[in-house]
Amino acid sequence: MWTKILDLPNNVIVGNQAIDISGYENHGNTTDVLLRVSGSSPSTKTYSFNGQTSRVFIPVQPVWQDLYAIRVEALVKINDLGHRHNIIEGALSFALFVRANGVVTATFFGLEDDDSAFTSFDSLSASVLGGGSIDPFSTVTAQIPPSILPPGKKLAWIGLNSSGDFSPTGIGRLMEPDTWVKITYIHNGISLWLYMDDQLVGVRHDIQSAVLPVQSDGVHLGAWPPRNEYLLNGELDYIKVWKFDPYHRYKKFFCRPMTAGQEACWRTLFGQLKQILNDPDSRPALIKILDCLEQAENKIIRAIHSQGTEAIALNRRFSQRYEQLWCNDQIDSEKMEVLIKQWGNWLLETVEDEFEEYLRQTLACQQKLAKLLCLDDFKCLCYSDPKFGKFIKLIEQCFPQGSDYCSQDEIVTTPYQSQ
Amino acid sequence: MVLTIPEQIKLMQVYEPVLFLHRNENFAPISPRGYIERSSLWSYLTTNLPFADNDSQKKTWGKPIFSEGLPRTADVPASETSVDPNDLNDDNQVYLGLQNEEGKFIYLQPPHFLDHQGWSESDDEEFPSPVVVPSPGEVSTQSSNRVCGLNRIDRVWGLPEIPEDIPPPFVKPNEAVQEFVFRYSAEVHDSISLVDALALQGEVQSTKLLDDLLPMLGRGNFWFIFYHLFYPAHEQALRLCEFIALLKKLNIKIAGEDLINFPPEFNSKSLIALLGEQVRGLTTADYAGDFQSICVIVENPGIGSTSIPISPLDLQDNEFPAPKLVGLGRRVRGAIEVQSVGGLPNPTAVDVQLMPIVENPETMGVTHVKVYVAKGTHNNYDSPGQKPSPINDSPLTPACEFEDVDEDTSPPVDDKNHKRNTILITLAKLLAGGLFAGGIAALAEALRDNDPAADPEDIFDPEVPDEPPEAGEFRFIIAPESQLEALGEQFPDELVELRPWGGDPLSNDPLDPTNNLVHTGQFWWPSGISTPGASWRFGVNCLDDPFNWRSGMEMPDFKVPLVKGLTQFIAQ
Repeated sequence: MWTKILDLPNNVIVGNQAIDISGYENHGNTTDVLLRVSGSSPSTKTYSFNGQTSRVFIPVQPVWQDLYAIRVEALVKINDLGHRHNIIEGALSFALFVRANGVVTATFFGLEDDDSAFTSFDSLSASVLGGGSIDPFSTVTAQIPPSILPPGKKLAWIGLNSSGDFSPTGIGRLMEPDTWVKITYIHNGISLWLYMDDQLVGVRHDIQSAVLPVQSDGVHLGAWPPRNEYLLNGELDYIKVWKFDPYHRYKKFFCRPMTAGQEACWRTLFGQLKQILNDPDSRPALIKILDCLEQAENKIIRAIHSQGTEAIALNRRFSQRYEQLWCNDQIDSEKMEVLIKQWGNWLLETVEDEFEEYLRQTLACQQKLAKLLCLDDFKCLCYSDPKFGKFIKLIEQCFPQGSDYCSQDEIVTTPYQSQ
Repeated sequence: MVLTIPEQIKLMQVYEPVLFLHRNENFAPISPRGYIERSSLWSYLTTNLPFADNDSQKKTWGKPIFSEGLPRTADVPASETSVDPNDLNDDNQVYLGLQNEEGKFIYLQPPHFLDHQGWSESDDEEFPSPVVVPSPGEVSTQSSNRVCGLNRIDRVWGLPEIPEDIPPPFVKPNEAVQEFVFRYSAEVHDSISLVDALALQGEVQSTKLLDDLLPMLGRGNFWFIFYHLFYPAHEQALRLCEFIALLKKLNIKIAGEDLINFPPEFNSKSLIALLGEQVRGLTTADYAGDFQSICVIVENPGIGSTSIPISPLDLQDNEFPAPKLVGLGRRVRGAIEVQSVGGLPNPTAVDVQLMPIVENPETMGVTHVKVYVAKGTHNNYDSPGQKPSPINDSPLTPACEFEDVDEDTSPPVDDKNHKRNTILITLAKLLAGGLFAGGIAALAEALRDNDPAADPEDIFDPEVPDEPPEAGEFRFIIAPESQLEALGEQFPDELVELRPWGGDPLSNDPLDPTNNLVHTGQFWWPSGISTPGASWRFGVNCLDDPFNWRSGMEMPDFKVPLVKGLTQFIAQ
């Protein structure tokens, strides 16, 4: 789901610029940042920050708008404790830093309910427009002009940290001076994840807001955007940032080999849906349906992810297998049948209630949809993609109990069934 | 110290590349001068008029044949265009470098395009249009002006068919243009003049980067020899997804019945048969006038053992060092760049020039870099055999995925437009598969998508091949004279034809047609090479081309892509 927008490797500053190789030309202007041959391995160099004046400033470009979700990965070493070390911060958008006591904190600037109490601490966050990130776990608040916000919402720095409060095991982890740590921070639209050396140290599944666009102050490494504060005294071996790729699922969908007729049918189908989404008259109704589907999807994803790392790992194995079969056009094969059975049974065992709710909610959404669209438009699938019809049949055979979730008159006929 | 013209000529000669063309390649690089002299010149408005209103667009092209409106004709017909100042006083010729009293170039001021062999209206010999069609160069209410006249360009400039084929009805290339074929245009710089040239172009970031990069490339001064390769036409099929995106943009609907009967293979013939004349010309990304470039980068060996630059004129032929790097020009057209205009997204189709760098490239005879040219697209590679197309090398949105964004759909503070786009896949699966199966199929995608530990570098972009020739697929190999004998021994296959680079390597007269060196005295180059420089498109403008796939292009800038390529090379 990601597209890489920043990739500062561990070996080069050209003039005073840290070179981005993501292709987006997000080169950073360095101030008092040195390259040192003392990386995490003998062959690598690092960006060295002096904790007093060093920073890398990346001017804001259109690519930092429409983030929706964000993923940051950095290999970091701090030299001391006792003060906050900013690793990366996008102005009024997202931040990753180490607190004075070594707790790693990851935040984003987004919307939350006016009366929400997200954090495990009693101190909720806010910020002043034009300012930098505030530690959501410190007691600081400020007023935001209310006019730009949807009713019942407020802007806030929302986050999680490695203190143990967000850890599935309850055990926290601190950064220690002179130790290299790989930190991974993920906001995937519905959850926040924080990893240290690939170990999950914090997760929360109550995220309602997208990451807001980076504001004109740009992206800063090793420093707070507004002032010379929270300066990193330490080293960065590399840092990478990804943002949400809205086309990812399409690309994955079309990894399946298709004839021109098949592809034209599917693409036209997607095009028609997008047209409805772009039409001011039909847009509100379709948005409701899409949001309804998204909610259903988010609930079950959160439920699975809440089962812990073993469940996530097992789910990954299923989904990797699915992807392999899909991209090799083995969607109606015995292998797919076995996979669907195993995966479905596992879902029923692991998150039965949520799985049933997903099916019910999806049905409710689909009922609304049937009124918006003409199914005849999708008849081409029956002729051009009979394999997909077999795939659907195969799933139905694997889930004979599916019909329990709705009465006969609620079932929407599919193009395959109408043949 | 800037290189003198004799020094530039020496370097140009010593480092001439060896170009391997594909057996099915129709065109070889030619001299742009020969092409310009045989083209008519049209002015046009750059204003973006609605795509549907083709007549209004055409009314801005050239001049009316009658008092106003359509039909139109070129401002300067092909029979009268001249790049030779000696024709200034010839009543039958129009010297395109003409300046007015204020010194302004009259024919370079408003936007222009060159019409070389017109548009394709009826010359699809295999599948002619059943309706009465206008003549090739016509711009009238009847003319479609959708795609360049590729077949006619081929008759003039095309490479001869391979011997075993039926003898073609035309002598190819046309005898009148043979002196312009197998030509390059060399632009030669040293480190200082390249930095200066970038600065003059106003490329602040690239100037600074290059200035900082040069010491990291080596201790001394460098020679940068750009071999600009101009092909009469570019040939490329659209991908199906691009074709569908185009139909959507042009509001051409594919009805359900048509989709059911959609051919399994994507080709223009079957699509016109199915969808009618409305899609004629829309299935290609062909265009007239195709500039590519390669840049050979050589470290100046210095005087004695010092890093003081030595003049190439002071080196014996066997003392020239091997190229250290080579930049290989490649292009993606129709990528979507979304800029913010007045706070609203403003998507525009742009050409992306790429110049990846290869270190220690393979050479013949120490100095001549081997370059393999992809069939039709003329993208350049350092090794033979199929490669993934550069379509995925640009970070910009591909046209396949592009959706128009307007005020109603631009996301407010917490809108989830992007996410909604992905949920459409769920929706489609539900529609196709029904609740249970469709829901589960959709869920499978969603679960994979949101896995926090999944590899973020997963790439699903389908690979579209670019086709530099395989070792057994060479046809024309264009090489310096000195390398022909060795190549002949290496490739005894009678289907392989060896040709020396054309032109007179020693000519330093900017207006000599045999001259291969880019001079500031040649007004037809864009500013940055020549001052003030032409900004014309080298091929006909085309209608119904919102993604800029079929209209001719201006000669692109290759210096900034070179700096980007060098930056990536150093960082990686």
